[in-house]
Amino acid sequence: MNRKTTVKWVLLAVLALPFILPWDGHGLAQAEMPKKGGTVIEAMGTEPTNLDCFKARRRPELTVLHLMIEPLFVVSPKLEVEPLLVESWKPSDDNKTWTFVLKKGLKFHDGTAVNAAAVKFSLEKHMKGSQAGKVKNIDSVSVVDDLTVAIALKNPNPGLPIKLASFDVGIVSPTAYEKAAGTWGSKVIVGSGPLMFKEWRSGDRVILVRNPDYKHGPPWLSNRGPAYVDEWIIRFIPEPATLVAELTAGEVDLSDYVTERDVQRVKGNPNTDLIMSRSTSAIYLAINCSSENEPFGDVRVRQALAHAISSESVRKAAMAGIGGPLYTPFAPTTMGFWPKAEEIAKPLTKYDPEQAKKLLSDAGWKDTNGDGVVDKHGEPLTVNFLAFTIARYRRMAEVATPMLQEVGFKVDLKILEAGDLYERVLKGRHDLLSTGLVASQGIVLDDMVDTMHSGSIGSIVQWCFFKDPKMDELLDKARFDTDPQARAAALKDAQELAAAGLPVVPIALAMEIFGYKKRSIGGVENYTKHPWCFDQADAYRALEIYKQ
Amino acid sequence: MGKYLLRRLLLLIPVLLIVSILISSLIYFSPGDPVRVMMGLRAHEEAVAEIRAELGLDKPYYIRYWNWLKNTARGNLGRSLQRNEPVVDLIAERLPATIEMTFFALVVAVLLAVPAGVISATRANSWVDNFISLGSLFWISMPGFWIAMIAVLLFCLKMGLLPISGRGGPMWTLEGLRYLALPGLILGIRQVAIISRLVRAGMLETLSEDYVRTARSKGLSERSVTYKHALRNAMIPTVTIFGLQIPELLSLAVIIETVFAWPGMGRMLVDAVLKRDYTLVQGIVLVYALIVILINLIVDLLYAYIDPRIKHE
Repeated sequence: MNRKTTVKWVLLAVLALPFILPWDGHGLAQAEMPKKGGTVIEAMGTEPTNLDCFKARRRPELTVLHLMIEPLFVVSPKLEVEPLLVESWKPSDDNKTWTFVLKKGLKFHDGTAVNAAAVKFSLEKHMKGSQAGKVKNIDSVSVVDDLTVAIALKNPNPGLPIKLASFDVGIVSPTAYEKAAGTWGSKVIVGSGPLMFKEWRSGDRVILVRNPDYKHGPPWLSNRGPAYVDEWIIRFIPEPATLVAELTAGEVDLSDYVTERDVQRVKGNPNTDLIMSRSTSAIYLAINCSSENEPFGDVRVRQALAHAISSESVRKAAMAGIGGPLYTPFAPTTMGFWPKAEEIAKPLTKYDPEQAKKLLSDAGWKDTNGDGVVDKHGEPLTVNFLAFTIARYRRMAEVATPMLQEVGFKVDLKILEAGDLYERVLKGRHDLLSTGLVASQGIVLDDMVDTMHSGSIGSIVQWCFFKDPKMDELLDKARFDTDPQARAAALKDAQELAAAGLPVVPIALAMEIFGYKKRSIGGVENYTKHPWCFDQADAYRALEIYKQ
Repeated sequence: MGKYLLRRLLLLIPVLLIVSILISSLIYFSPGDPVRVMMGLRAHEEAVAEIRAELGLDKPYYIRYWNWLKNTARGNLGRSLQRNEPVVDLIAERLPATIEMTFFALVVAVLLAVPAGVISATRANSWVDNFISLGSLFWISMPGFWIAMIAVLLFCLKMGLLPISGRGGPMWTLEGLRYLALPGLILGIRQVAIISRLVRAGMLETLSEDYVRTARSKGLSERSVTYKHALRNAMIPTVTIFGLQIPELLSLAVIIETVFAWPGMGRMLVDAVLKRDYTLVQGIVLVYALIVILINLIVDLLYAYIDPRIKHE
């Protein structure tokens, strides 16, 4: 072969190389670039009641609102408070007045500026709305200048920024609110978030579109904005089996409404995958331990209830075994949780029917007539047991009932829908309630104040009617003392008191279950790897997830 | 006929009034606070009281009912307590989906039930009759929820023929029809079973009448005897039941709407009841009552068409 021919063959070989060698996706790895555009379809099991952020308080509403409306601060994956709409902030020496300077140039979806007037408007509305409990300590909000707002508190609170890090107290456009004139929350929702409201088709779906000007997402996100997708559709599919069918074989790309019972079905399907992480939601049987609700005001009777029930069996039967162990009224994943509280509570909540019988006997309850039900002065020990119609809580009650009957309780179980149940619980017409404390911001102090401070009696979530001056004192100290060490000590003591007081029969730490279609969307690992409570994660799925 | 029609239309007013009083008092006096349901578990009493006053829910029942009645007389059914949207708008948004599904179900019922009933009657006690009877018994006995789930499994997941849930658009579009086919069919199948049995019973009776024997002896074809003479007379009880099936269809629709995530009024009504959305419940029930009354009026008028001996005075 002569030289010219050799060169020709070498050149041909070099040109042919890209077509022969493993190049794109075979052998040589290529980083997956998130694709811009497309529509993501998410499924929810319940339609929001309304999307008025000043009235909405349930998970379906907040799941949608968190995509559009932002708070002043956010919580980082390291569980530290970071600014979102705020540039800088400073408390007064006594922590009673806080001054916040907003970031320049931020805009709402209607083009108006995110300014001090908007913050004042929003917080004042929240103070009278469904989030009033969260911002109860705010006395007044005043505009210092266009970007500076001052918040005066009733009691000093060094932890105000974390209160303002809840997506439940988001900032909205006052201009849009005034213009909406009665259609706010149904046809008009204007915040500063990564997605904008487009349409709500009743009974069918909410359609959101990308906010093209959004660029201020938190720095730990892989994408700070704008969102990758053009459209984010949230469909309402009330039947769980249909929802899973749509996820595995239909048009739905993701859902965090997969029930515990459907976990294996989604995991086992070749089209879908599942990510589960420990939530900050505690599932339990709440005991009405008011001193007027004899005999459940007696801690021995409450301990008997706890020893009578095998939480592991209830978890298996009611939650398909999905869920972590729980020993106290609060999830161990919450910020500020004191691990030693679990050590105090464990022996008190261990399944031990014989111990339960002994405790009842010590409290004066014995089966005097041999009918299997303990009694005192001729009166049987009746447990007025209420449960929501929600499948998980209903099943919990149904499984726990025979366990209670086994040790001598007479159980009157009623499964009720929310309206009726709320009314009975508010009036204290229950002894035991199958329920759960669903995560709000995942802060144990907030959960303790809501469920165990006597000042919260009058809200449904104070279903234990817990009234202890010592607890009130500790919780107030944990919130308002200016010394961080004193606050931390008070919080620990409060948790110790809660664990020993046994106001609930702990059942499970709920899991966040996120199902998604594998070849349909990407960015899931970025969205789900952070140990956030649900309201933080909700908003950022819009920024991390993209259509493949 | 004109006087009859006018009288029937005027009767609408007291009937709707009684329905509205019954339903509003029922929901008002049921336990449960709509504001509590809306605001969730952590809402404090002060905030709840404020919203309650804002929505006018702190007023006594008779004042609220009287205000509602005055507005309704002017065509304003009030605003949904939960959604804060006009009830008329919400109903207008969901009513087409309900009408589509109900209409489709009725068309399916008529197209399948009438021939099935006729065949069953003309071949009474044959294997065809037994097969149709057994089928009818099966569809009447099976719970609608179960049938719906099996249909999704078979036609949507296994065979991939039809979409699983949702509404794809108005029923006169191809996409709309694709989404409507399965929920409409499931809703209608039970009616097929019921109506075919009625048609069979009616036909058996009329086929044994003297005038049918006369028609045969005059040399008319069996087809003419069956469809022109016997069926027409057999249809009167069937048409009656047809009208009475509308309320059942509307209530069964709730289950079908839930399984197929169909955005109809049935689901909206159940949600409104559970959330104690008084104004929305009153509005929807009023519309349902109106539909049922009007359908029954049409049914009554149809009698005169089917049987000229019947005259409405």
